[in-house]
Amino acid sequence: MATLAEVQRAFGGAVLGDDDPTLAALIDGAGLTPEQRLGIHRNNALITLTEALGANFPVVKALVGDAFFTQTARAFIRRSPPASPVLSRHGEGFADFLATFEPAASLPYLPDVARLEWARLGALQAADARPAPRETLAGVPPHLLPMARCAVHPSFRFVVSDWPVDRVWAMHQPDWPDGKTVSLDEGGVTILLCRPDDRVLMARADRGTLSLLLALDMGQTLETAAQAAARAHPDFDLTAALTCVLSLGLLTEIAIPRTASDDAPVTPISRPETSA
Amino acid sequence: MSGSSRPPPADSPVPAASVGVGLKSDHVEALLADPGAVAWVEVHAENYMHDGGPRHHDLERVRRDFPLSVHGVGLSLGGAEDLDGAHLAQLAAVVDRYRPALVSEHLAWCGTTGAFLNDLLPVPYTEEALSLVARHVDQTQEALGRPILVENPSRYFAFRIGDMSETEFLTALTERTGCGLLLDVNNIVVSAVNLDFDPVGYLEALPLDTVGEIHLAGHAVRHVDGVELRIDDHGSAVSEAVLALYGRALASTGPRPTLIERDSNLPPWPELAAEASRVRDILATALGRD
Repeated sequence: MATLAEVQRAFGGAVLGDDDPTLAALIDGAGLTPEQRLGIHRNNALITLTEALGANFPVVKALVGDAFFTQTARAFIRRSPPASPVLSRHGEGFADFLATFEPAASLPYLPDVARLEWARLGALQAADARPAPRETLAGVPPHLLPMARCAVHPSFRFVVSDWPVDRVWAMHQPDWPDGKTVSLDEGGVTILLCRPDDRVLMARADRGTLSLLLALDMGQTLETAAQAAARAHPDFDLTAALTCVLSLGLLTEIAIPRTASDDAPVTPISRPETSA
Repeated sequence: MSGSSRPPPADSPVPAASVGVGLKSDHVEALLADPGAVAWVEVHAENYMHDGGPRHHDLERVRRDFPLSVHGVGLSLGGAEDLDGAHLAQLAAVVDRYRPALVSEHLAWCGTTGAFLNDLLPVPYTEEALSLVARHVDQTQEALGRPILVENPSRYFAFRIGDMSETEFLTALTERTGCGLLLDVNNIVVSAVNLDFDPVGYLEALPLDTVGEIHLAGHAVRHVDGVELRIDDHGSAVSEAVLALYGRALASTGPRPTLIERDSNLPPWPELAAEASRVRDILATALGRD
């Protein structure tokens, strides 16, 4: 008699598309063929996994239409079935798959729309944290500001694209004005995302601001992070960058050393419990 | 943030003679505004296996007012492989976070390593499978520090292999592990048509004294080459056949917390509340009979 592992290996293969004669022999067709009965499970798995993928990538689905999305999703699911039962993480790798999926080649911006939707989903489900108020940095004595270390919000995500994918995304939201269009010639974008409360915020930023955030997220001081951003992007403007970052709620805690010469221990001047 | 610092009430059991519904985000506001309509709610554990955000904020609000049941749909108790330790740890985290009155899973498997199939797939009722499922139930109960309920499956075919019936398998499983039964009446009706067996005989062969919760749901009817099949889609109101069998089950189990499952074609809240009211009447009748 087949072991449970053997049955399940064959069954898993059959659900994802390969008929297996040894499995059919174990199934009582009872008026139907074993394949017809297995087909119920195959349909259930593929239909619900396709729906779940569509729920995670609604704009990609709207851009290509239901029929094309279903075909694309099935090809993706057969190649990369979800590794975990947590379906809100179903679709990791979907953007990369779309980039190589020949039938979608006429929509070169589609993978980046998928990246944006994936970033939004990640931000939506990241840990909660209260952002530092916008005026926080104003309270730091100027000579200590370079030493500040900033904690970046757990929901921080970003997307860099050669296409205006934030506007492509916005076009498919209910508040988009009728008749307004987006030209793909508008050019590329760097998009920062954050979920300071229940809603995901996104804003365009320059690459220098993104460099700053990534450096801060690695624990560098504001001065070191700003220098790195300015080296890579000569037009970098620290004040403008911090305004953008704080308005999105991307910093949760700003800590400065007690004195400029004393790097540790640091005194937090703003953290979730104490901010308004 | 939505004031998540207050912990949920520790001690809020689900009353035996009470009706709950599966929590859907579309219904959260209506539920909170109409707290008398149902006595408790159930959520799928996997929908809360992430750190933060609005879904958690909604459940935190609901949990302050309602007892909770956490229903897992992806642990794969019937999998031939070892349980996914990371998934079990995430289930334990959801249970710690929300302190549910009831925790349940399925007699089913859901995929193999790296390939979750999002379906509750059938297990052949062999001695090998029984030992394995019992070990997985033990492991789960140890990780959670509490007994769980295991749900009888909906079936679309019978295996030609096996050492025992489904009811014998479930009886042995409850005896070996001390787990309880989540009696899904809809699944019995679905399986009875698909596998051509007597639902009442099946019901009476179950270890009904271990039933800790009952599920009711609607299902779809399909015809394939002249053969009628029932598909467990939770996409319509609870059928009359299911309600009739439910009344019969209550006569043996006595009143049990009863959940209306609705996962697709979600109706407006008042429709679901009316269905809950009807089920509550059936429960009240059973209570009067005791």
